[in-house]
Amino acid sequence: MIRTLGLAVVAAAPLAAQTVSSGDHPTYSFRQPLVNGRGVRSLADLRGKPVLIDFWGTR
Amino acid sequence: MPAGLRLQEEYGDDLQIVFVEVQRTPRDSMETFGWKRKWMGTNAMWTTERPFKVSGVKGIPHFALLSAEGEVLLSGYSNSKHGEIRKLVAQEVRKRGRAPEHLSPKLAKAWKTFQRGKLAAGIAEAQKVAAKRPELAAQATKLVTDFRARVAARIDRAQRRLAEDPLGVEDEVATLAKGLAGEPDLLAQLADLQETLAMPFMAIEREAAKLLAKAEDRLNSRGSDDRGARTSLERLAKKYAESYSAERALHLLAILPR
Repeated sequence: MIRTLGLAVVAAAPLAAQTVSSGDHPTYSFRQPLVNGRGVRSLADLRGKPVLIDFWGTR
Repeated sequence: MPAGLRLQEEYGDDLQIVFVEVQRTPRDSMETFGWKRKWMGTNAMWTTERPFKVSGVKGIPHFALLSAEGEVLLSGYSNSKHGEIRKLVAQEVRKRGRAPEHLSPKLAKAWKTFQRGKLAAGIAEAQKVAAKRPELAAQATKLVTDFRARVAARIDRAQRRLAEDPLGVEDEVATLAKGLAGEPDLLAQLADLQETLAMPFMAIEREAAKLLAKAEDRLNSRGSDDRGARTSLERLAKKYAESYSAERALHLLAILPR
């Protein structure tokens, strides 16, 4: 029962990623829970503290 | 990556780092990669979904730093702007208690009260300004709406976190209940969550979550192939078979090297 609680809310995500610059307020709803996401499903959920989005690769 | 992890460790809950793998590596492989390098022990979050693209960059690593209100403050290649990132993060963290510049000074007290966790008192102060100062009524009413939306968002997020982080949710619910004393509507929104936390199966979830946290700490400190951590995860998966943490333990056992 509890397992379904954490996975139930999956919002629709935009298909094409927007391109952002300084001054923009990007929005996005994640299709899958983040690893160590603690309930975060969208960028809006992260409001209230500064957020560093770090784009990287494993290869 | 290590520079970002150091920032996350340094600032703890005052900063959120989201690592976005953009080379189309499968999600499980990304997680294995992180565990092998002992990168998974901070508050940082990880995803393979790109929430947006950054203008003017083509290679990696690159970044976008967002303010507490979600505005892009700085972006570019991480290696060449690390000093600027550190400086801006420090500035943003210092700003957290201050009211936004666009807000009337008459509403600054309400803002600060709310930010300090006295949620109901902050709402009441903004309502008082709305009632007493017609020239500020629109701004004050908007602030009240914003405060209520923020509380509702926190409750929603706590609901979604319940399975993966029952101990964290327990703390969050206690904090919200204290801050919302005197706000019956918002307290009513919190009541469902409190009721769920009090259910017998949550006691099992809490115990399982404690064991999972210990095993993850051990993986971080001793390495992703630590046999003791594997044994703990196997025991947890067996003892609390129906719990979310057991599911997570089985996932870790599947993706971590033997």
